[in-house]
Amino acid sequence: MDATIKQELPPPGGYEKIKYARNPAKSYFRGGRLLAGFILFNGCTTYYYFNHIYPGILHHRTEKTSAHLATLPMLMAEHDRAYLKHCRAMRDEEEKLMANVPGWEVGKWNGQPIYKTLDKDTFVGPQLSEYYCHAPYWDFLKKAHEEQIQV
Amino acid sequence: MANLVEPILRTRFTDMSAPLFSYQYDHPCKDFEIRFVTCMEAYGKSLGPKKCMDLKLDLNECVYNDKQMFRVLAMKHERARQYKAGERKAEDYYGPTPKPDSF
Repeated sequence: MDATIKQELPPPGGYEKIKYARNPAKSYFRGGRLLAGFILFNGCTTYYYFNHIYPGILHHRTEKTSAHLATLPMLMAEHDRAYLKHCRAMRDEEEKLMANVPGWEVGKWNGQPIYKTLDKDTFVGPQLSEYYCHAPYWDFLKKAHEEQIQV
Repeated sequence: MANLVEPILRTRFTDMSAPLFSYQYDHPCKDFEIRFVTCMEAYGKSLGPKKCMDLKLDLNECVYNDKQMFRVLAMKHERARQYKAGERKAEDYYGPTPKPDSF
């Protein structure tokens, strides 16, 4: 049995030196070349965009606007029609509903018109709650939320 | 509403603040207000309140919608009363419902 103790020592010739020098990545382009390439690439893509893509976008935008403008009169007319029809339906419903209430006149409150000084034929549109008077309350709440009206 | 109440201490500084509060800036009641104010200006302090009462009530109605709200409430109560009394069935509890986006 070997009784001698083996002391741990540096390897022969000493330790390796610590590498502390910078080790930068290899650069392919620098300075002027890089700038020139950037300008060239940007120029090419911009040229391509404005000559081949942007006209299509403009065309699409014009199409959309035209379609919107073409359908708008019809939509507005439909809106007005539905509005007036519902006003008429409300009047009829009030007549039917309050038939048994004594002293009730359609379109009046306590026998007085809503606006005294206005001409009799002036159309005063209903409030939102009046518009949804005969409808479920939940419908009115939804509409008020949609219109951002504080109830 | 136009600031029609005369302040207790009337100075030129309170006069400056008088035209600040009005409905003349793109408000649905601006016609009612200008008619009432013109009437008050024509008749003055003593005769005005009597002569311009209707215009004032109309302005009030435009701003607060009292009569219209009372009407709506009365109709809702009548509907509920009819349902409780058994004159109205649950199927036709409600009247015409407006079409979406028609307001």
